[in-house]
Amino acid sequence: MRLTALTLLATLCGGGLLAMPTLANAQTATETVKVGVILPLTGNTAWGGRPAKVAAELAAAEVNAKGLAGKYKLDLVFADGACEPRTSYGAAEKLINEDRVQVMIGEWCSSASVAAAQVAADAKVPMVVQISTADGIAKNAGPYVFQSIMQNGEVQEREAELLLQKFQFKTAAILVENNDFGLSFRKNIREILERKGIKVVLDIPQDRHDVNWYSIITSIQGANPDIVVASISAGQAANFVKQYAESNMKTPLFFDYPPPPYIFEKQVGEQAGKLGLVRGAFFLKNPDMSQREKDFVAAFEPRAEKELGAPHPTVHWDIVTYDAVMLVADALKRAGAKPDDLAAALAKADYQGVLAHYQFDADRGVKPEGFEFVFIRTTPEGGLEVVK
Amino acid sequence: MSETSAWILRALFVAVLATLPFLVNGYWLNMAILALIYSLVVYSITVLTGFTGLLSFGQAGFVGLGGYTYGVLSVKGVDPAAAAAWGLLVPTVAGFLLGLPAARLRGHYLAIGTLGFGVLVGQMLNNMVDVTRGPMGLLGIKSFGFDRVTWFYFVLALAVGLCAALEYLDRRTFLGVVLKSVKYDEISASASGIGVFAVKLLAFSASAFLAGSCGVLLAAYMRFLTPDLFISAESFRYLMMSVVGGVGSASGAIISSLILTAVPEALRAFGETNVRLLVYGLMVLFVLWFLPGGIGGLIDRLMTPVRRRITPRPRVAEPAPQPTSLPGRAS
Repeated sequence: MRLTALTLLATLCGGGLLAMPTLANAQTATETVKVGVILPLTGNTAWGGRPAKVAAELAAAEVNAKGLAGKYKLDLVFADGACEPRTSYGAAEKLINEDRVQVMIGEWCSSASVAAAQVAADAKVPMVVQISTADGIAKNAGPYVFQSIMQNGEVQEREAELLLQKFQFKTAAILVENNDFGLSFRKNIREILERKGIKVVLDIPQDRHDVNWYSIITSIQGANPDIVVASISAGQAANFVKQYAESNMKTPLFFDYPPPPYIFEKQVGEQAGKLGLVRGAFFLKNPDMSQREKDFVAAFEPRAEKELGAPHPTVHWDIVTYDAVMLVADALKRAGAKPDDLAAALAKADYQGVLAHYQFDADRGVKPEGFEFVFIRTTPEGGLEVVK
Repeated sequence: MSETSAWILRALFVAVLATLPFLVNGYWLNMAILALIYSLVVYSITVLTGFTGLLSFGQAGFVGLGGYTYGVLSVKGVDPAAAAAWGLLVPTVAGFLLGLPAARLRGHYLAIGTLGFGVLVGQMLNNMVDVTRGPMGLLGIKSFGFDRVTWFYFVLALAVGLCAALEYLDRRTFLGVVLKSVKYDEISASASGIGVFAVKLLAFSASAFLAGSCGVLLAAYMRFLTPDLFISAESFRYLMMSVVGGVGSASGAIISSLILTAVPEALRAFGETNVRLLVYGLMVLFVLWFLPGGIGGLIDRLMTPVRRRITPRPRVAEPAPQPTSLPGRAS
C-alpha cells in the first residue's frame, strides 16, 4: 500500500517535472491568426484563382514552417468570389462573421474587390487587395484597406513610357473592352498619349459580350494609325487577335497586361506570333529573373502541377498573392493581430517581396517605384520573350 | 386547410423570421436582409408580369437607377432621406417613360424592348465615369444609421407589409381584377371600358417604383455599388426568383427570395468549387419540374379549403370529336 502511494507520488512529481517545459512553452505558444482569402475559384476567372490559391498556401506553409509571422501561425480560409461583386460580398461577409478571420486578402476583379473592401472596412478588418488594379480601391474604402499592386493609372503611365521608347509612332488607335479594365485604361492612356503629343485617331469601346471585332478592324483600316493600343481581357483578346490576323492587318499591335501569358499563347499563340504582339507584363519567366523569383518558381511550379493536375507556368497573379500573404505575416510579426495595430503595421510596411518592394503611400496604395514592369512579345513559334 | 389555419401559418412564418436575429450569426442575418431587400424587386415582377401580364427583362435597370441615384447623391453630401426620395422618384419616372412605348408592345417585342432598357442602364452606369465612377465602383455611400438588427426588422416589416398589400390587391380589390383583365384578355378589358394603356402605364410605374426601392435599400445597406450589380444577368436572376416563387404570388416571391439568396451561400459547405453551382442549378430545375406553379402555386394548393378541392367539378359537355381528315378527300 505504502509502495503504491509512493509510486503515485513519484509519478505525480515526475509528471510535474516533465510538464514544466510544456507549461513554459505554453506561455510563449503560437497563436493562430485566421486569414481570409477571396479568389475566383469558380467561373471564367478560375483559371487564375486556383493557381493563386496554391501560391497563398505555399506562402502560409513557409510562414508557419520558418516562423515568419513571429509568434503567429497563419490559418488560411478560402472563399470563392467568382469575380462577381455580389458573390464576393457574400464571401467577405462569411469570412468575417462566420469564420471570424482577422485579416483578408483578395479578390481578383476590381468590382469584386470593391465589394469585399467595403465589408472589410465596415467590420474594421484589415484587408490587402493584391490583384485588382482599379484606381483608388484602398483610398475610397478607408483606413483598413491596402492595395498591394500598382493601380491602373500608374500601370498605364509605365506602359505609355515604354511604348514611346519601344515604338516610333505619332498616331494611335485605342480599343478597349467595355469593362473595368478597359474603361479606366481608355481614360488614362488617352490622357497620357495626348500629353506626350500623340494624336488619337480612333477610340472605341467594344461590348464585352460582342465577339465580332471585324467592324472595328475595318474602322482601324480607315483611320490608319501608326499603332493599335488595346485593353481587352482574356477570352475577348483571343477573338480579337484571331480576327486581326485573319484580316491581314499590318499595323503594330500593343496590349495592356490582362491577357494571361501562356494561356493566351495556347489559344492564339500562332496568330499573335505572326503579328509580333507586344504587351505589358509584371513578370515573365526568363533567364535574367532575380534569385527570389527563381526560388519562388522552383517551389511553386511543382506544387501547382500537383494541386492542379497540369503544369502551370508562373504568372504575376500567383506571385502577388504569395507576396500578400508574406506582407500580412510581416505586419503580424511587427505589430500583432489587433486590427488597428495590424493596419498601422501594414501602412508602415517596408517589405522586399518576390515581385516587388512593398511600401504604401498615404492613401494605402502601394508605391509604384517598387515594381518592375516589362514588355513581352509573342514569338513566331508561339513562345514568349521579354522585349529588350 | 381552413382560413384560420392559413392565418396561423402566415403568422408563424413571420414569427420565425422575426426570431432570426436571435438564432443566426451576423453572416446569415446579412443574407436574410439581402434576401428581403431582393424580395422588393421580385414584387416588382409580380406586379408587372404576374398581375398585368407584361414580361420585363430589364428590372435590374430600375434597381440600378434607384441605387445609383441614392448612392451618387449621398456621396455628394445630400441627406440620406432626400437621396432616398430621389432614388425612388427617378426609376418611377423612368418606368413611366419606358411604359409609354413599351405598353404598346406585346410578347417578344416587349421582352426585347425591356431587355434593351436594362442593357442601356447598365452601359450608362458603366460609362458615366464622372458621375458614377463607372467600373471603379462607388464607395463610401452614407446609410440610414441603422445597426444590422434594426436593418433586419426594417426590411422585414417592409417586405411582409408589401407582401400583404399585394396579396390584398390581387385578391380583394377591383384594381386587382382590372390588372388581371388586362393580363388575360386586353380586347375584352378594353371593350369593358378599361383604359388598357393607362393600366399598363400604371403597372410599369409601380413596378419601377418597387424595383427602385430595392436599389435604394441595396445601396444604403451595402454602402458600395458597381455597375456589375445591375447587368442583364441580374434581371434574369430576379426573374428566376419570381418564377420559382410563382409569378403573380407575392407570398411565393418573399419565400423564393429567401431561399434563392440563402441556398447558394449554404452550398459553400460543398466546397468552393463548381459542384455547388451544379447543385444549385439542379435544385432550381427540380423545383420547376415538380412545382410548375412555383412556391406560390404550392401555397395556393395548400390554402385552398379541402372542401372545395374534393367537391367534384361541374361536368362540362365534351367537345365533339374533330374529323381526322378533310371530308370528301380520299385518305
